Amino acid sequence: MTQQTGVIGKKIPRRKRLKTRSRDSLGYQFISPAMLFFTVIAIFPTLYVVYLSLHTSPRGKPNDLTFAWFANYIEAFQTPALKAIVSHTLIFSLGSSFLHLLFGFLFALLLNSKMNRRFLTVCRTMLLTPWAISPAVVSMVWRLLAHPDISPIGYLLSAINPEWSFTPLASTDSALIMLTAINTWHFTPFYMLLLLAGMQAINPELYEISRIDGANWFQRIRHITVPLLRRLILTLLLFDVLTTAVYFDLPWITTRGGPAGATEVLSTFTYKQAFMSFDFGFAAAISMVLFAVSIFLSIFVVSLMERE
Amino acid sequence: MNAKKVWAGFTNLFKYISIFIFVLIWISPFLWMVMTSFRDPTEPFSSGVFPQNYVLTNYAAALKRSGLMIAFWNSFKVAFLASIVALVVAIPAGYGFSRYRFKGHSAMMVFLIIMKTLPGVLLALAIFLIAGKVGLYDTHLPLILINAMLTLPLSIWNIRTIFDGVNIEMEEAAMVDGCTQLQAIIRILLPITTPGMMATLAFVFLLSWNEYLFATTFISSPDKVLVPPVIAGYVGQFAADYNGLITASVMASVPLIIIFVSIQRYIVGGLSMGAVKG
Repeated sequence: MTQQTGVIGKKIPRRKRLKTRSRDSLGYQFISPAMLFFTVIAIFPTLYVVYLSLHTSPRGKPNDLTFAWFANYIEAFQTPALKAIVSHTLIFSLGSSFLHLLFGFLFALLLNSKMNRRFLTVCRTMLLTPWAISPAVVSMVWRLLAHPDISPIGYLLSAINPEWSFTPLASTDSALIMLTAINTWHFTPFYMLLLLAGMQAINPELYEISRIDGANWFQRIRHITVPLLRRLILTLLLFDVLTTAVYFDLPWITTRGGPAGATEVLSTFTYKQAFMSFDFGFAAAISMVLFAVSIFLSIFVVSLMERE
Repeated sequence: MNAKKVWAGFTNLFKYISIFIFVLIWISPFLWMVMTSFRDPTEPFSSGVFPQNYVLTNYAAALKRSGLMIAFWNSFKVAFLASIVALVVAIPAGYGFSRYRFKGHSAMMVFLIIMKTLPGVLLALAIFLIAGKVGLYDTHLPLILINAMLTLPLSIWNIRTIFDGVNIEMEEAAMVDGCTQLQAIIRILLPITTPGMMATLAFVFLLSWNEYLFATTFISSPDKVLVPPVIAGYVGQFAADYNGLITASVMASVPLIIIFVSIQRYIVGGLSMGAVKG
């Protein structure tokens, strides 16, 4: 009998399904409004960006386009600050992703432990709050928390030693690290929630058996939890690296790329080129390169995981 | 023996207390924000971490600032309409992905993930120029559509997961009794999945309410602004009104945190599906 993967991945014999359900066309009809929506609001604009990236326009006249082959792409790769911008983007994106997963994993372990249920619910609710806050609010509140006159952290530090202060966003050495820390704080709950869902799906008997075999807490995590969540962790890592590499709100609102370009990332640089220099062709070329790299990376990693 | 028990209880208590203190420290930026919103605006920040008096002056001032109230209304309008649009498009799509295995099914699911990684700045510059050409710059319509589109992958995954949890035999039984498929969906499937649908609606509302990039790029008139750009522009706009900034931030965040905490168990399924399917 032909078997088909049905609801929730269960194998259902084909004869049990409705006759109409075997027809592809009805399925397409149901998803077509969504696909139309994506075509108009995402795919068409993306194609328009491809078109824009092959044209130049006089400054301030974005609709006066001249075809220029790959001039914008060449200009993009010759940008003097490009190396610094790309390395800021990589540090911000890889650093945040690593810390999201590290803290997310530790918090999920805590919430999955055998402590009092009500206590864990309270902890879970509290740990989730940062994620529900708007990036605009997070950025502005952290600007105040790093403000020389306002910061309660600075107040406490100067109470210990009057010479100490807390102004991490004002220094070129620490601004990018601070942005990474803020981003970690903001989005860790998301990764915590997903890793927790993954941990709760692991059969508890596995832990019982290994306990009987004499495995300690650390060994159980090392040899049961981590291997079983490997795929989830890798997928989350990829998703996180890609979305953080193009993340705009936090770097823009908090530092606008400053001080002295120390936190300039690809998204803020592109935004400045488009909406402050009005060089839309150049901005389009940079964002196309960015998007191409992210698609390539995701297809590469997905195919690696499929091969396993 | 007894001393051992007491000692175990003591270490246990210590464990609970230290974890709780750690969690408090982790969310202390948020707690500071809430406490500071009740601080007397005449009280300098250099006088201490905690306010000396808790007053409602800042809230009274915020409610009187008409520009801020307009922004709250605009944000509510955009986020609410975006979540309605997203749900109207995502319910049939989620149903299609849940109940049919058509050709290209998994490719379409991967396509949804690629849509999630589309750089916002790329979309912003294209739609900015297009909206300018068709006369939709400085209107709420493009924001409603963009927010619906940005949250659509997540809504579809989530609704698909919800439908996956409902046995198909319920619809089939209704159809044997003479319902059309559409009637079976509307009369049987949607009523039993209402909590999940409302949670999805609330989550799209939250993400749209918080969206900043498009809201700041597409709107220039003061009577059309949304909340996130107003908050992000607070310090420049009203000189150094830090108390006003923090109060507006609390007003923009706390209702959504409460909504989010109450719906989170309904959206984990869709979120993990999106992650695992990648």
